[in-house]
Amino acid sequence: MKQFDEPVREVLLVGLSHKTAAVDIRECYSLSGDDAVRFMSEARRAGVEEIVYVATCNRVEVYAASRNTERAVKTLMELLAHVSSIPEKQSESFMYRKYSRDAVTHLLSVASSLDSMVVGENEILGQLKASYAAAVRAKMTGPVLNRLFHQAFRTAKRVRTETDIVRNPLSVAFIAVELAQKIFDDVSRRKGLLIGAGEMGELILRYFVKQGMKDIVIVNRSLANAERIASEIFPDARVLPLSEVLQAASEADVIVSSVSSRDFVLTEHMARNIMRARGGHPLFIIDIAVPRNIDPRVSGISDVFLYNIDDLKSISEENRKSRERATEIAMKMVEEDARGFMEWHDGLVIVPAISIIQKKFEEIRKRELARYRRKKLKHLSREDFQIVEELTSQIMTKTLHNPIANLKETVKGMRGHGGRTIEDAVRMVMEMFKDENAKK
Amino acid sequence: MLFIITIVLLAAASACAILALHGASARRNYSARIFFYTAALCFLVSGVIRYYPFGLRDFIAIARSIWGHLYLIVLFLILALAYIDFSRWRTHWLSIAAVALPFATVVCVLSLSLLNSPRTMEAGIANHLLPFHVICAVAGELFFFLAACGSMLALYLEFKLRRKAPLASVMSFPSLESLESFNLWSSAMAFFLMSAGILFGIILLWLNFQAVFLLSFKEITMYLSWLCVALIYAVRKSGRARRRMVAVLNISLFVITMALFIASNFFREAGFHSFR
Repeated sequence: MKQFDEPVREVLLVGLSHKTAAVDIRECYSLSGDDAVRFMSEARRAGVEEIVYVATCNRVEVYAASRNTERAVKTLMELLAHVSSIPEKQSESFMYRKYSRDAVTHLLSVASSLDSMVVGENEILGQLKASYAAAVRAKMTGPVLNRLFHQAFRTAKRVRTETDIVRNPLSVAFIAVELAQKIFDDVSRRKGLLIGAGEMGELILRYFVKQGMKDIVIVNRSLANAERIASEIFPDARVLPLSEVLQAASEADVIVSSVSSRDFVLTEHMARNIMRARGGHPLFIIDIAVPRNIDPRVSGISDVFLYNIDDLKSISEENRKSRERATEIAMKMVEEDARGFMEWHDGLVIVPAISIIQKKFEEIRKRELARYRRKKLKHLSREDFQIVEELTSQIMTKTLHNPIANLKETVKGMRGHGGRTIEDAVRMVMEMFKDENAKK
Repeated sequence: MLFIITIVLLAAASACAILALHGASARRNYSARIFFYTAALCFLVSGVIRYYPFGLRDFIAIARSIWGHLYLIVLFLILALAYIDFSRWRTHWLSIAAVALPFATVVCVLSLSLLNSPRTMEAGIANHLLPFHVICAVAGELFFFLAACGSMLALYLEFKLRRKAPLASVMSFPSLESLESFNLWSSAMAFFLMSAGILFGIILLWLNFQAVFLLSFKEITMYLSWLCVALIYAVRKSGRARRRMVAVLNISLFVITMALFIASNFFREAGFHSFR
C-alpha cells in the first residue's frame, strides 16, 4: 500500500522548439517509431515513472511525471544528449525545462496550437495524439500523464470550437480558397485557370489543387514555363498559349491572373461576353498582378467577384488582428484548464492519507462490533445484527465525510504556500490516527 | 409566464444567431442553438398546457382562436428550423435562423395582446379535410418565407463579397451556390404544398357549395400567392435569370403577398381569416 508521506509524481517537461533551436539542431533530437519507444523505455528503466516523447517538425519535447523531478530531468537530459550526440552543456542554450504548472500550461498551449509557428494550425493536435497513443501502447504512461494528455486534447477542442483561432486564415493563397468556398458549393468540381507563371499565382493554384480541383488550365506566354508549373503542381493540367486566354477564361469558374502585362488581359467588354455565355453562373477572379491584368470595371458585372492583391492583403490584415484577439481568449482558457488540472493533481497528495483514515476507522468499527457481538449483542438474530452493522457503517461514513472534505479543501488552499506545508499538514492529521501500539 | 420566457429566449436566440452570423463566432452559434432549443421546449410546453388534451379534433378549435392561429404559425417555423438543423441543410441553420427567429419573436410578441382574446376566426365550412387544407397552405406560405429568407441572405453575402468585407463576417455563411439550391428547394416545397392546399380547398368548396371558385378575398390572395410561388419556382428552376434579380423578385413578391394577405383580413366580413 502507498505510504501517506510518499511524494506525488510531478509533471515535468524537457524539450526544444522552433522558438529556441534551428531545424538542423531540432532534427538531431528527432526520433520516430521504435527509436522513440526505445528512448521512453530507457527513461523508464532509469526511474522516470511516466513518459511521453513528442517529435514534430517544430518541436521535440519529453513530458514526464516523476516523484524525483531532479533525477528525472538529469536522466532525460543525458538520454537526449546521447540521442543527439550534442553534449549536455551545449544544449543548455536551446533546451528548456518546465515543471509542474508551467509544464502543464505549456502542453495545453501546444495542443491548442498557441505555441505553433502558425498559430491555429491543425496538424499539431493529431501529432500529439499519435505520440501519446504510441506511449500508451508501449505502457509508458500512468495516471498523471493520462489525465494531463486527455485534458490537453479537451482544451484544444475547446479552443478550436469556442474561439476564432482557426477561422481566420492569414495566407493570401488560403484566403483566396476560402473566398471561393463562399461562392461555390464544391470547389473541387470547378474549373480553374492560371494566367501567367508568377510565384503567388502558383501558390494559389496549389491550394486549389489541395482542395481537390481537377480541371485546370495554365495559360502563359512561354509554354515551357507553363509546362514546368503543370508538372510541379498538377500534371493533368492543360497548357495553352496566352493568345487563347479568352477561350480558356470563358470555360473557367476560378481565374488566377499573375502575368506581367501593360494592357488588361481581360477587359470589361470581354468579361461581359464571357458572363453572357455562362448563364448566370458566378465567376471568381483573383488578380494578383501589378500592374493589374483585369480591368477593375469587371467587378461591376453581375455574378463576377473580382479580388486584387490589395483586397486579399487587407483581408489578411483583418484576420491577423482577429487572430490576435482570439489568441488572448484562448490563452485564458488554457490557464483556466491548467488551474483545473493542478487542483486535481494537488488532490493526489491527500489520497493515500484519506485511504489510511478510512481504513483505520473501518478497523475500529469492525473490532468493536465483533466485541459487542460476543458479549452484549449475542442475543441478536443474524438479520438484526446485519442492521446494526449497516447502521454503524453509515454513522462512520457520515462522520468522516466532513473532516475528509475539509482536509481536501485545506490542502487546496495551502497550495502555493510551499509544498512542504501541505505534507506537514497531512502528517499532522495522520498523527491523530496513528496506531496506539506503534506510538509505544 | 412560460410564453413570456419563450419570447425572451427566442429574442436571445435571435440576437445570438445574428451576432454569430456577423462575427463568425462559434460560441454565439452554440448559444443561439441552446437558446433556440430551450425556447422551442418552452413553446411546446406552453401550447400543451393551454390546449391539453390535444387531438386532431381540437385542431380546428385552436386554429380558430387568433392566438392559436399565430401559435401554429410559430410552431411550424420552430419545427422547420429544428428540421433544417438535422437535415442536409444543417450548415444553413445559423443563416436561416438569423432571419427566421426575429420574425418568430415578433409574431410571438404581437400575439401577446391576443393571448386571452375571445375573438375567433370562424371557418365558413366544417369538414375533416379542413386541417389538411390549412396545414398545406400555411406550410406552403412558410416555405415561401424561407425562400425569401434565403434570398435575403444571398443578397447580403453577395454585398459583403463585393465590398471585400473581412472574412470573419462571411465565414458563417454557406456558399452563394448552396444558398441558391436551398432557395430552389424551399420554392419547390412552397409550390407543391400550396398546390396541395389549393387542391384541398377546391375539394372542400365542391363538397360544400358544388363550386370550385367563389371569388372570395381568401381565394384571390391564395391564388395570387400560388402564382407568385409558381413564378419564382419556374424562374429558379430554369436557371436563366440572374441570381440577384430572382432574389429581389422573391423578397418583393413575398412582402407584397403577405401585405395583401394581411390587409385583406381587415376587409373580410366573415370566414376563417376574417379579423372582424
